[in-house]
Amino acid sequence: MAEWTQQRYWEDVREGEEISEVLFPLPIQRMVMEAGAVYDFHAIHHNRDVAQTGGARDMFANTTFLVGMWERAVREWIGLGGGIRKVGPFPMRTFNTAGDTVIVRGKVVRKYQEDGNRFVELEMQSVSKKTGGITVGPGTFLVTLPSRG
Amino acid sequence: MTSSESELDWTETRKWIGRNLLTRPRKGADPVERSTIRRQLEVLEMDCPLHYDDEVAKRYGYNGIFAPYHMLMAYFWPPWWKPGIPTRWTSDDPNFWLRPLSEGEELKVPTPTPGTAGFVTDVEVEFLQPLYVGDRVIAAEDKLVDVNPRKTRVGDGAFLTHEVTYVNQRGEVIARWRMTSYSYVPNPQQR
Repeated sequence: MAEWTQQRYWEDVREGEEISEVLFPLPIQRMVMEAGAVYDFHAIHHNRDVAQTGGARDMFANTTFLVGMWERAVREWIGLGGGIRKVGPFPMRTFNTAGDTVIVRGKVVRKYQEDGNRFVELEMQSVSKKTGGITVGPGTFLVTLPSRG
Repeated sequence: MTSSESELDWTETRKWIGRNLLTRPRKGADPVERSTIRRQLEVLEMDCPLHYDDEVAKRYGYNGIFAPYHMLMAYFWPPWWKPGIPTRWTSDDPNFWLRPLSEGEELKVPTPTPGTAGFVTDVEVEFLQPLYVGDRVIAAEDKLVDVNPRKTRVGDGAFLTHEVTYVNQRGEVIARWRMTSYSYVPNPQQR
């Protein structure tokens, strides 16, 4: 979990630095809780038979869950003073299925100032613990950070 | 025709390129609520105080707690049933499933497609305003911008790209969403 009393400042960020990775195991119960929490009851996200009929290996995490995973990792890095502006574009390469663990990783690819804002571009990706392959991304998460003044 | 070219007819789908699929703005079923924010944070095990503690949120310049930005996707869904319509549970087959009311209802022209299944392939969302407790997510415009037919390992279909503009109850643009999904007929051997 993050240390919310600490704040990261734009001046201290280095291009290339990595953010802490976050793991998201996906048992079926968590898939069901997510469907309920975000009101997305499309059967492919909680029903193995329906997902497999559509060609997937198993029920798979929905887009909201996947972007939420990235947002949690990003928010823990930018702290309370950081701002979130944009996510993507990013590709959904393959399904994140029940029984796997999603590993979220990110790194700083660019920092710049524009219109009085201090932006940082993070390159995010989700990796399957089972296969080691990228399941979502790489994609951009555009954030702002406060200045030391 | 190469082996990757779709054999389905996308003529009707292509007629909708550039047109707004919404017959009128589509409001999500529920407003942004503290309990639904908490439940999503619970699934993610996300403990950021901006989403739990009004005092902390105000100290950092927000009006109060707000939903994490990705929850735009939680609050844009229309209802699955509403008073006055007959039951939608017309089968007890364990694999019987519904779509949200807007698909096939008067609010949105369902994107004509020969596909019978679908999943998201590419996403891009610009977040312009936080979602505060009590706010509504309203799709003001939903345009089909591209149709790219192609066979893939799961079936024969097309990549459909939509651009959606979301506003809140005050008419302020809160997000711009661009999403590509693959609409397809699954290969017979996939089951």
